Amino acid sequence: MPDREAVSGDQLLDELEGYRKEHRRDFPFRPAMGQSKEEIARSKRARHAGGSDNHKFEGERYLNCTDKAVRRRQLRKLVDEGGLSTFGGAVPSHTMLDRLGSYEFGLTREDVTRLEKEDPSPEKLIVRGWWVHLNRTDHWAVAIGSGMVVEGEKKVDPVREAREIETMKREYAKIGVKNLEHALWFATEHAGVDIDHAEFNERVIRDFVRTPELQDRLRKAFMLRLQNQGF
Amino acid sequence: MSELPYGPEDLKASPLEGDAFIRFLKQEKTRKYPEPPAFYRDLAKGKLGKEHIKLWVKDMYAYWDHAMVYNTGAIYIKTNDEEVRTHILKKMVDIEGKEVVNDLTGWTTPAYEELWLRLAEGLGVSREEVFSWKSFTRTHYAITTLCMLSRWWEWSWLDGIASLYAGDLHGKEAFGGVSKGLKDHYQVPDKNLEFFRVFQEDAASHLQWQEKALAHWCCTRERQLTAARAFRKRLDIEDQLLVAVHRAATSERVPLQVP
Repeated sequence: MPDREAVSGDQLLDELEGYRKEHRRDFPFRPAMGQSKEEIARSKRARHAGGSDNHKFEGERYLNCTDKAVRRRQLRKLVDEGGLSTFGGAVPSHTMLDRLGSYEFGLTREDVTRLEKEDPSPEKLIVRGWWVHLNRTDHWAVAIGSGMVVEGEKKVDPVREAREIETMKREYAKIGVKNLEHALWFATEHAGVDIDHAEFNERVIRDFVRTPELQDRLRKAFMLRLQNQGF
Repeated sequence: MSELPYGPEDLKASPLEGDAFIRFLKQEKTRKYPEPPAFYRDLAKGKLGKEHIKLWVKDMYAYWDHAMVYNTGAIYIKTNDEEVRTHILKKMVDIEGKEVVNDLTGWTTPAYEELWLRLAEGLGVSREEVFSWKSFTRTHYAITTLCMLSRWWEWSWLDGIASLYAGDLHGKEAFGGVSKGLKDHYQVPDKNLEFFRVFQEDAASHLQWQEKALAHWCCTRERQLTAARAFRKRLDIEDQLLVAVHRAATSERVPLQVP
């Protein structure tokens, strides 16, 4: 049993942001700048290896959620991730955005399909294994709340985020990327939609992560997820 | 779920061509269930008392409220092919209510469970009565089995697609007669029958991609054997869902209920 009382939702969120700040001193989470086209293509190949796990962990949150209104909000999030274009919107799935970005660095459709069928790296295997397991087995509100780590990152400094995208745009133009919109679509889409998603995560934390036990589980999940970056 | 694994002898034959595999599944449905379930047949002919129709509506709520959401979501998680997964996402929106994507489409159709509650109201059954109903044990077993097979390792994603296909085929074929029977014999107002119109339209939109996916991806003998087994199991589950309520209507003993 945790040896402390439950704190308010706002206190808990502040505490989690404190963990982020501390962790980021040693493990900054910023896009790599000044890379050649080949270097970027290499990192994109590594990114595609083993396929995408987004539907797995987001789907686990949906499936485990016992609050109907939250579950339907999570389904709406699955639509954001799975493609607004499915319902007449302009934005394709995030998996497709990722692909479109890679095509601009010389990867072909066939390359990406082949990579997605390949084994992930051993590191990716265990990071993802842990992450899907957490979302499958932990309390649904802890699982949704743990989305704060990546999606909440976009809330930390949106101005810097926008500035970095502009810098990337200039760098990509310099190294001869033709369709800058496609090359950066994944990043620009996430700069916006992740803020909505982070706010949803925060609401779930405030409304449902209210016992000392759940709050401790979220603290642990948050810290372990933070450690994914720079692992 | 406890069947012996297929061995080299079972797997020797070549897989069927895609179209032939779909024809085989349809033949399996006709072989196992040549007619709609007895409850639906009697309903369509007006042979059941109104109290038994009410019982059915109460007993099936858990299926539309929970089992459909859960089994479809579970298959979504298992599906790594994006094209197929996108179709499943559409199905999840159909089930949870197209109003979930109102901001994108302007759609206002509510969830299946809400439409089912409106059907109950058309029969004079209040929402409170539906919520407080304790399922027949057989129905509960059937729902639990469907959720378990879909969620855990018993079914692969393709087995799951075969299950979705069986569920949609079953509903699409049966619900026309059910809806007509409710209107003609039990005076359910047209507005309360919206569930059936929505489900049938949705099912029609899903059958095509399900057939395409099964024809394409079930490209080995083993995939075909296991998908066909999942298809049959879903048909069994759909049938079992209606057995207790039919017994309640046709025999003197009230079936067992979940405590």
